[in-house]
Amino acid sequence: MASGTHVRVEGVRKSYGGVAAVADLDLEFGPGITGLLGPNGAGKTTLIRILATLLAPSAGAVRVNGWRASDLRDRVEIRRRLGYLPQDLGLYPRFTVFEFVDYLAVLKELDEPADRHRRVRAALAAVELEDLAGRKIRTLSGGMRRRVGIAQAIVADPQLLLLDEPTTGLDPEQRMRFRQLIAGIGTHRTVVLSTHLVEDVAAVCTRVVVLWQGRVRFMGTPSELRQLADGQVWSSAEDGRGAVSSWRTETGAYRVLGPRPSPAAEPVAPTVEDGYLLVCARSRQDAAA
Amino acid sequence: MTPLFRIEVRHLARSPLLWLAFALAAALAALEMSWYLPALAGDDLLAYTSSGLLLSGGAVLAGAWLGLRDRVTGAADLVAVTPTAPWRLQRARLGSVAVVAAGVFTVGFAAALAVSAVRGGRGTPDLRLLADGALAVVLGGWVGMAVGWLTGSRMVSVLAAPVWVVVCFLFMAGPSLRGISLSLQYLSPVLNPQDHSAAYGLLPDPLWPHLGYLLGLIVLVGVLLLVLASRGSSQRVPLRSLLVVAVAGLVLVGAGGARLLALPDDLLVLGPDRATWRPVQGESDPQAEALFADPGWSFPADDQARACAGDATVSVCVYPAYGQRLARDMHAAIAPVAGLFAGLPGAPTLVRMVPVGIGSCLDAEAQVPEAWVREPAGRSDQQTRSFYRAVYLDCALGLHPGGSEHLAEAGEAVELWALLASGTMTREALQRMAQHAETDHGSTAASAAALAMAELPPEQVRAELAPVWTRLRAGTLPLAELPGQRP
Repeated sequence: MASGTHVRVEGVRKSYGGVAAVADLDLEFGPGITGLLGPNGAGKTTLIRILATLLAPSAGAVRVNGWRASDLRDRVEIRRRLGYLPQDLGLYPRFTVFEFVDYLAVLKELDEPADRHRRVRAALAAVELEDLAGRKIRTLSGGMRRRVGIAQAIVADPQLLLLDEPTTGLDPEQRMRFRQLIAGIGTHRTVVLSTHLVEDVAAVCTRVVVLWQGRVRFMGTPSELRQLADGQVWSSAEDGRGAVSSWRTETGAYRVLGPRPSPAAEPVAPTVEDGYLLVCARSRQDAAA
Repeated sequence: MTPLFRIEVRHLARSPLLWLAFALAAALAALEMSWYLPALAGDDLLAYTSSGLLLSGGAVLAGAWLGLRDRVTGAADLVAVTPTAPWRLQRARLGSVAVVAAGVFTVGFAAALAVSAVRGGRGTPDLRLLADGALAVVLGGWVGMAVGWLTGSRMVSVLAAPVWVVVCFLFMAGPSLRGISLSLQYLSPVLNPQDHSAAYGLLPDPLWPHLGYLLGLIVLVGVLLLVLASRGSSQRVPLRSLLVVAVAGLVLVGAGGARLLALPDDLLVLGPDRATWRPVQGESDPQAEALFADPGWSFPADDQARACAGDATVSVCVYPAYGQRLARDMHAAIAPVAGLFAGLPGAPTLVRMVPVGIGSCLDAEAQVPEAWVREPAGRSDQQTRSFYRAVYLDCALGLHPGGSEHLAEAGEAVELWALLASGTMTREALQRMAQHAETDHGSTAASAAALAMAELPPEQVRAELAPVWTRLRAGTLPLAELPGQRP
C-alpha cells in the first residue's frame, strides 16, 4: 500500500487585484486528515486550488514530496498522486456514472482496462453508486453527483486527496458513510478537507487549520481546538450579553460561549465548534483592532 | 487506439447534433436522387454535394460542443489536475472527431450508393468523392472544435455551424474573378461541381487538388490545436515533428489551392480527346455557343455509350452507368415514331447519349445530351416519352435539337402526324388544335394537314413523303404537297 504524501506550503500568498485571498501561509500536511475550517472567503478554496496545482501562488512555494508545484515537470508528478474534488463540481451530463469515472480514471493514467474497470467499480461501491453506474449523470440529484465527484477523486487511489466541501448536498446518512470512507483513506493517505461544517472536522480530522481572511488563525488537533473553549461555555437561564455566541437550546436554557453570563450559569463541556467560534471571534476582534 | 480515444469516439458517435445533420442530409440526398435517373457514377456526386455541406455543418456543431465541453460543464478543473498531457487529450479528441465525422459521411455515402444500386444505378462511383466529403466533414469538425475550445462560448459555437455552411455556400456559388481568372468556388471545403458525366467524370475535375488542399487545411488546424493545447504544460507536444507536419500542410494547401484557382469554371468537352476540351470562365462562352449553334457540328464517336437496345429501324445507346434498362425505355419510346420514318434519308438510325449540353444530329445519328436524360425532374412518364420522341423527330425533320429554329409548316404537320400516329397525341387534342389559334405545336393549318395525313395508312404516308422528303427537311415544302392534302 502506498504511503501518504508530505505537503509543504511555504510563505504562500495569492492576491487578486491587490487583495490577498491567502497570505503568508506556512503549513505542512502529512498522512492523516487535515480539516480546513473558516468562514466564507477565508481562503479555503484558494488554498485547496493552489495545492491542487490549479492556481499558481503569487508568492511562496508548494512542495509535495519535494516536487515543486511551480515546476512544470514536477507538477505532473504531483498530479499523478492527486485526487481532487472541487467545490464547484462539473460533470459530463451525457456520460453515465460509470463512463465518467472511467474517463477520469483514464486521464489518471489507469490504462489497463480490466484493472481500471475494477477500480471504477470499487470507487462507485465506496460511495454506494454501483447500482446507478449505468444512469446518465444528467438524471442524478445533487447529492448523487457529489458522490460521483468523490468516486472520481478516489478512483486512482491517490496519495494526496484534496476535498473541497465534499459533504455539500449529502444527506445525514450519506455524510456518515462519507466520514467512514475518508477516515479509512486517511489512515494511510494525506487528506486535506475544506469545509464549513465543523462536525465533519470533529468527526474525521486528525488536524485542523482555521483560516481567517487568508491567514492561519489556528493549527492543531480537533481536541486542541475544543480545549480553546474550556471554561468558556455555559448553560444559563439568561441570554449572554457580550458573549461570542448564545443560543437557546431545546431545554429552554441558553448555551453561551464567552464570559460567564451570570453567577447562576453552569459550565458546559465545550465542543470543537465552540473552539472554532472562539477562534473566529478573536480573529474578528484582532481585525477590528 | 488509446482508451481515451475509444471513449471519445463512443460518445461522439452518439452525438444527437451529428445524427440530426445526418438525418437532414439523408433526406436531402433522397430527395435529390429522386429527381435523377439512378447511376452510381452520378449519384456519388449527389450524395457528396447533398450530404457534404449539411454533415460538415453538423460536424462543426458537434466538434464545437466537444471543444467547449470541459468549460461549459465545469469539469475543466477535474481534467486539468490529471497527469494526462493536455495535447494528448486534444489529440484523442481530434482523432475521435475525425473518425466519427468521416464515419458518418461514409455511412451516408454508402447508403446513397446502395439506394442507387437498388434503383438500378450502374457504373463505377468515384471514390475520391467519398474521400473528399469525409475530409470536408472532418475539417468542419476540427474547425468546430477550435471554435468551441478557443471561445468557450455556447452562442459562438451554435452560430459557427450556420456561418460555416453560409461561408461554404458563398464559396461554392461564388463567381470567378474574371479579370484574373481565379475560380474561388473550388476553395470551398465542399465542392459543388456543376457538370458531371457518367462517362467523363467531373468537368472540370477538381478532386485531386481539392483533396490535397483539404488535407493541408486539416493538418494546419490540427497542428494549431495541438500547439495551443500544450501551452503552459511541461508535457510539450513534439514540436519538431509538428513543424514538419505543418510545413507539409502548408505545401498541400498552397499547391492544391493554386491548382484549384487555376481551374476553369466550366469545361466544354468537344470530343473524347482531352486536347479538344475548352475551358470556360464565367457563365457563357460565345465561341462555344456559336459552335453548338452550328448544325454541322456533332460530338465525335467516342465508344462510351455502350449500353444499347434497338431493332432494325433504330438503336438507342446510353452510357453503361444508366444501365440497359434506360436504353430499352428510350427505344420503346422512340420506336413507334422511328417506325414511321424508317428508310427515309436523314431519319436517325442511332440515338446516342453524349456528354455535351446540347443535342445535335449528324447523318443518321441523333445525339441526346446526358444531362437532359439524367434529370427527368418533374416530368411524367408520358412527358419523358414525348421528350425522347421530340428529340428523334427534330433530327428526322432536319431540325437542330434544342435549337432556336422552328419547323416550317409542312414539318410541323408531319411532326403532329407522327405524334398522333405514334400515340403520343390523341386525335381529339389534334382536332382541338386544328380548330383554335396557333399553339406551341403548330398552326391550325398544320394541325389540319396532320389530321388529313392521319386518314391514310402510315405506310402510304411514308411512301408519299419519300419523294418530297429532302424539301420537307429543308423547310421548302408547302403544306399542299403533303400526303392526303386536297388541292
